Amino acid sequence: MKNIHLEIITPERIAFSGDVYMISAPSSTGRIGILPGHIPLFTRLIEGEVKITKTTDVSYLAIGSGFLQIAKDKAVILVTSAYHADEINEAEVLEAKKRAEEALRNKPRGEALIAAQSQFLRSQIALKVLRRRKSRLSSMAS
Amino acid sequence: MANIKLIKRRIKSAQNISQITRAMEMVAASKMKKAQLTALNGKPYADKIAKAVKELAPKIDRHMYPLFSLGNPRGSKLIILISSNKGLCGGLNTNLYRFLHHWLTKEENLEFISIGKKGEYFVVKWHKKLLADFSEEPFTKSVPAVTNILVTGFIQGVYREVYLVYNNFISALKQEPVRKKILPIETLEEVDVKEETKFSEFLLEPSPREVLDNLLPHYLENQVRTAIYEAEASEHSARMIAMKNATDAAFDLITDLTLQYNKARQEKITYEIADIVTARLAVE
Repeated sequence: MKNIHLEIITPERIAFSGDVYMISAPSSTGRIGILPGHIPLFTRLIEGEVKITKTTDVSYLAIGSGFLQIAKDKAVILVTSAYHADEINEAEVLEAKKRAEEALRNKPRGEALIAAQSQFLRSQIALKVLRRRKSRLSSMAS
Repeated sequence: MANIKLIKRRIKSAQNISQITRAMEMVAASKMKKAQLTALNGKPYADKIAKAVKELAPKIDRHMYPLFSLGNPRGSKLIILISSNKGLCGGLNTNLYRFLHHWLTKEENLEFISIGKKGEYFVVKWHKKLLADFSEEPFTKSVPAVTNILVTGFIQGVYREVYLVYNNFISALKQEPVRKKILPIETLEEVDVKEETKFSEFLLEPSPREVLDNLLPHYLENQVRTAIYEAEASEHSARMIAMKNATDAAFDLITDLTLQYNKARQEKITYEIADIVTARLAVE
C-alpha cells in the first residue's frame, strides 16, 4: 500500500514522524482527508484533532492552530501544540475545563472572553481525543 | 599581631565568595543546558516556517500584502534589543551595547523595544526613544505582544525596518552580538526547491489571503521567539564562564593569602622564641 510521510512539528519538539496511510485534519474550512498522491496544498489548520491512519491502527492527536503543507508524498503539520492521547492528563484537563466554564459564567469581555473560550475549546478537544482512545482500548479488550 | 587576624578574615571571605560563585556557576550550567535544548528543539519548526515564507514570497504580488511591502522609506528604524534581566555575566551585555554603538553611528530615527532590564537601562542612558519594555520573565510570554507592536507599526508605515539585536549562541565559550532584519521580508536568496514542489503549483486554501494573513505574523512571532531562545542560552553560558573565572580568581586569592598568613604566623613564632631567649639571657 502506498504511504505518505507525515511530520507533526511544534515549537517544542517533533511530535510525530512516520509513514501513514491517511491523515484527517481540521482545516479552517472544514475537515480534510489526505491520502497518498494528494495535490500540493498549503492550508491553515484550526484547533482540533488529527486522525492518523496507519495500516493496522488509528491514532489521534489534539493540536493547536497552525498550518498543513503537502508536497508530493510528504506532509508537514506545523502547529503551536500537539499531544498524543497518552500524554494528556485527564484530571488536569477536567480541572482546566472547569476553570474555563467558571470564567465563562462570569461573562468576561474582550481578551478575557477569548482566553476563556479557547481554554474551553482546548480542553474539549483533549477530552475528545482521550475518549476515543478509551473506547478503542475497551473494544480491543472485549 | 592584628595583621594575622586581618589575613584570616580575608581568607574566610574569599572562601565564602568562591562558594557562592561556584553555586552560581552550576546553576547557570544547568540553565544553559535547558536553554540550549529548547533552542535546539525549536529549530525544525522555525526552519519549516521560514522556508514556507521564503518559498511563498517570490510567488505573490507584494503590493497585495502589507506585511510583504518594502516599508515606508521615511519611517523610523525599530530595534528590538534582547539582553538579560540580571548582570554577573561578564562582558555579554557590554559587547551588545558596543555592537549597537558601532552600527548606529549616524543620527537616525531610532525606536527601541527592550526585552531585558539591562537593555532598557542602556537605551535610557543613551537618550534614545524607548517604545516599550518587556522584561517580565519568561521573555517568551511577551512574544505575541512584541510581534503585535511591530506588525501594526509596520503596516501603518511608522517603521522602515525592524531589527532584532541579540547575542547569538555559538558555543558555551563564544557568544556573538548579531542583528537580524525581520521586516521588510526580503525576497531571500534562491532557495533549494529541487526536491519539493514549488509553491506556484501549490493550492492555497481557503485563499492565499487568509493563509498569508495568518502565516506572516506567525512567522515573525517565531523569529522573535527563536532570538529570545538564543539570547537566553548565551546569557546562561556567559554567566557560567564568568562565574567559573570568579571561582578560579577566588582560589588564587586564597592561595596567596594562605601563604601570607603562614609567613606572618611563622614570623610571630620566631619573634616569640627570640623574646624568650633574650629574657632568659637577661636573667642569667
